[in-house]
Amino acid sequence: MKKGFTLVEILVCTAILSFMIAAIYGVLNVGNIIYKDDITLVELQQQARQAMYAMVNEIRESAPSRMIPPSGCSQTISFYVAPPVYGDLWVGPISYYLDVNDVNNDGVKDQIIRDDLDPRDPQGPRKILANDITWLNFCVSENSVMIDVAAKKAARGRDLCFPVPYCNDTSKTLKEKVKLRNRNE
Amino acid sequence: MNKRGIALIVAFMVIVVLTTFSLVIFVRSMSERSIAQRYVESTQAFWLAEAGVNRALKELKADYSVSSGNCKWETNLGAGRYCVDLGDKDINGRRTLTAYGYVPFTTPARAERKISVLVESSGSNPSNPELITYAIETTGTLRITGSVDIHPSGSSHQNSNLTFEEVFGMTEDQVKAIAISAQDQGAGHVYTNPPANQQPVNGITWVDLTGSNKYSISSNWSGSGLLIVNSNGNDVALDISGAWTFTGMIWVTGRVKISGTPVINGAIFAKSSIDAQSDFSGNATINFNSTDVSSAFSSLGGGGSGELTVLSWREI
Repeated sequence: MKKGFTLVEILVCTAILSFMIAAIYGVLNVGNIIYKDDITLVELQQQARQAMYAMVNEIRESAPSRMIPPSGCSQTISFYVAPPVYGDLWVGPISYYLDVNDVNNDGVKDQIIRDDLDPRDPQGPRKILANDITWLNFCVSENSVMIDVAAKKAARGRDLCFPVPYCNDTSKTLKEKVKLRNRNE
Repeated sequence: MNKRGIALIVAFMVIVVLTTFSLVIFVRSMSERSIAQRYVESTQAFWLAEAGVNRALKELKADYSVSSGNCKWETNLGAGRYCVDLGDKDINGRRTLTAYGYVPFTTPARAERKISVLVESSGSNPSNPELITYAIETTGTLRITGSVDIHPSGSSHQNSNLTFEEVFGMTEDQVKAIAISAQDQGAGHVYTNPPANQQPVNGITWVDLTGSNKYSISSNWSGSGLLIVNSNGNDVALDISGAWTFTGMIWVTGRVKISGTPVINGAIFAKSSIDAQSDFSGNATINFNSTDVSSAFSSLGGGGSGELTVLSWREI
């Protein structure tokens, strides 16, 4: 005689399997969300750090008297950098600002934009340094500039931030102090 | 049919899948690590180059006239090393230094950053000894009679347009003031209408002549440094007739007469009035030596106490 399964056995088995699959899916889904959040956070971090790196390297080659504004804090900064040949006109003005109103009409806001109309500039007149930036500030003091950057991006209905991952403290920013290497003239 | 062999195939497939996953994760993490490592090393190289700049500024502050050279200052520091190239003074007395930061020590380095800095010293020597390119040069006419050994041969020039201010980078009064100051410190001499064979002549020596007086050198002694003979420009101002040896630069406002067997290493320049002549005759030996000329001009000062200013700082 062939032995089979009763309906009850199959129903119980299906129920148990369903619970197991649901539990496994739950774990996998949480893992997937965390993975995607991490990717977003890493992207945010890279955006902010790359922009900071580029700004620091360029502002470093300026001089205290070549900063606009010459002192105080501002969300926009303009400056000139030392020319390749001493005695030539300084290169610039180079400006960094946060594009909150999409001035470059690319449909994307919250970008750090670098403008330089000097035709000698190999980087061209306009360049986007980073996306998803919510805070950009420059504080110019006697011979240095403090730069503050913070980034934020919405992912699956909630915000992810840099440098504080889950936006618990938006007062925290990525800071770097740049010493101006050239002298006043 | 016996299906128990399926276990091996399933196990094998699971192992393949897991191995592939591990490999992918390993490769990705290695690539991230190498990107991060490159960033770290590049930053280290930058600060090593900055260390090189600061080292060079310190050395130049101590001695602004230090000789130029590639990899003039080199030190292993932290994770790598720096190496600083120092250029000669330009026409304005400024010097360019190029600092290289390398990580790691070994060649070729994985990371390299370069910083170019132009500096000037407020106490720097503004002279331009590189403008002196002949053993004998005169603004008037050069007449050579008898045998005079000039090395390299043909290293003579007449009707020169060089001026005192161009070569010294300052006026005669300023140079004389330096000579007076040097005399006070035992590093120079100022003579007015000196007797024949007035010595010593070393460091910076300033000789003033009035009327038809001249500075005669006829015996066997030696001098060095920067010798400036200043007369009205019409008469023989410097008359060398003995077996005199001199190393450095002789600058004469007036006519020069050379005879006998003197040996001059460096250069001699005579600034005569237009109708005057510089007479070079006898069995003299004149060897052009730019190093001797440069070191003669270094007696004008410029080392030590000057304040250094960074005119231009650029990462290149």
